Amino acid sequence: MPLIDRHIMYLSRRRKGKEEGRQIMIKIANLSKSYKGKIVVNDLSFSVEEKEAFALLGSNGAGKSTTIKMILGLVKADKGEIQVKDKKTIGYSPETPSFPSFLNGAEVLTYYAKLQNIPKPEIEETVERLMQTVGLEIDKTKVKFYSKGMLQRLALAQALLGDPDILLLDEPCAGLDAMGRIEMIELLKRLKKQGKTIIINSHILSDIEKVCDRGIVMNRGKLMRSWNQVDINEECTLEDIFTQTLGGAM
Amino acid sequence: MTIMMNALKERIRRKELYIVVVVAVIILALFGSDAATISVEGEAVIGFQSMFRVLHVVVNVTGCLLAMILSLPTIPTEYREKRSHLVWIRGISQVKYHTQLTAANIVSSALAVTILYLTLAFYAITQGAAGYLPAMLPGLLITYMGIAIVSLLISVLSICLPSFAVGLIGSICIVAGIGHGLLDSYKNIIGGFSGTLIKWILWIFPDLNGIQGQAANVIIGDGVDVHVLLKGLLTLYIISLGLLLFRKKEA
Repeated sequence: MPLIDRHIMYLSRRRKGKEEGRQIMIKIANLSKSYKGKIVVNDLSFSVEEKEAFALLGSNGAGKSTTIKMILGLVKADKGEIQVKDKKTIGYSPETPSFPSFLNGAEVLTYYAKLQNIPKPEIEETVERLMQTVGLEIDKTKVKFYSKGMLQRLALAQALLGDPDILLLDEPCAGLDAMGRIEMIELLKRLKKQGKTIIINSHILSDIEKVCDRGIVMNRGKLMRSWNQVDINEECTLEDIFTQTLGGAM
Repeated sequence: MTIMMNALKERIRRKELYIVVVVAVIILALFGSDAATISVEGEAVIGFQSMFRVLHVVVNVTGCLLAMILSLPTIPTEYREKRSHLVWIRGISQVKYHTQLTAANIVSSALAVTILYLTLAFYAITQGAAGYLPAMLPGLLITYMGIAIVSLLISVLSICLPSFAVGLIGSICIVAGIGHGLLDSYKNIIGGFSGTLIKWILWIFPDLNGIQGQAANVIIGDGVDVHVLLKGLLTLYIISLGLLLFRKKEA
């Protein structure tokens, strides 16, 4: 598709979004964080709109995970502001999920469902549905015997508990095989279609390209550039944008 | 209660619990039978009551060690493995989270001590002293107090200190607590700086020996020093305040 058409499509989508009254779900302003004098996130600002999939890109140590943790309140920011739209719930899938090893998948979800105060009569149905959604079987296999990919799926399932408005996914495709990645991408597309706002932190640029509308590239805690789907075409992939941006900075 | 029940199930699955309990039961069985004898100050311990007191000390020491082994890794592991992330994001306060994990530590330690107490009960039956059994229940409850002090102290300290430091403080607490009576006697004999140091140790670390002594007294039918028990309860209360005061900066 010619670039101009893609640009028109993108603008019309944005306009449609604004007409629909699409609101800012997360707004980050001048966020900074340092550990023992080492700056991890440096004056970072961006916002994520309702129903969009937003990517945080960057090499290791760029500050992506720290940014996600600050949004979740797991890490305190030194400076700056994080605004999450009123009464919007957040689901989080960590990069390296660790669950109580003696439980099976369904029991893990039941455990987190109880922590989330999901009404008891709904728990069983919710767990069954989510296990099915992420492609895991309900059986007696303990999570200590789960592969990395199965743990990622389970992590996503627990993030979906309570049907949150916003999903923060830290490396959701890490450890998945090719088929698993395809399924995960399809699942994320479905979630986006359902109206979820998704923020993804991933190293797999081709996956990001398929799911995300917009994103930023970070390096050493700083925002290096923003990108959107218009910037991506046959001549310029997300990988090109990434290397062009970080080529001089790395 | 969800976090507590989950942590408790995990603690009960730990093999250290069973190893220490089995070793302690073997020791108790050995000394409870005629296969081995215990001497105190060169004299063999004979008679049910004397032997029971010695075995009760063994149960208490083992219980304290178990409380430390079971309680030490609980909270640090939650944070190291980042399970805390999925708890914090669900809006569960640190106080609630740490309190439930601590409760799991205390209950699992108490369960271990209960198993050891069953061995004591078995010993009483084999020695034809089944009449002491009803008094073993209040005795067990008093013993729980000492075990709870150790477990609570370790759990609270593990919120804010590295495991090595907590293990060290816990070990000192158990040694000083079990040897409280002995240290108290030495304090007056030694005097000077060492005497003052022992005085401070006695003041800081709870009298675990005193508490277990009251438990044994209840069972055997000797007088109980309520003051020691009240001090134990006060200690529990003071340490538990740490659950409110100590917070993790990050999950």
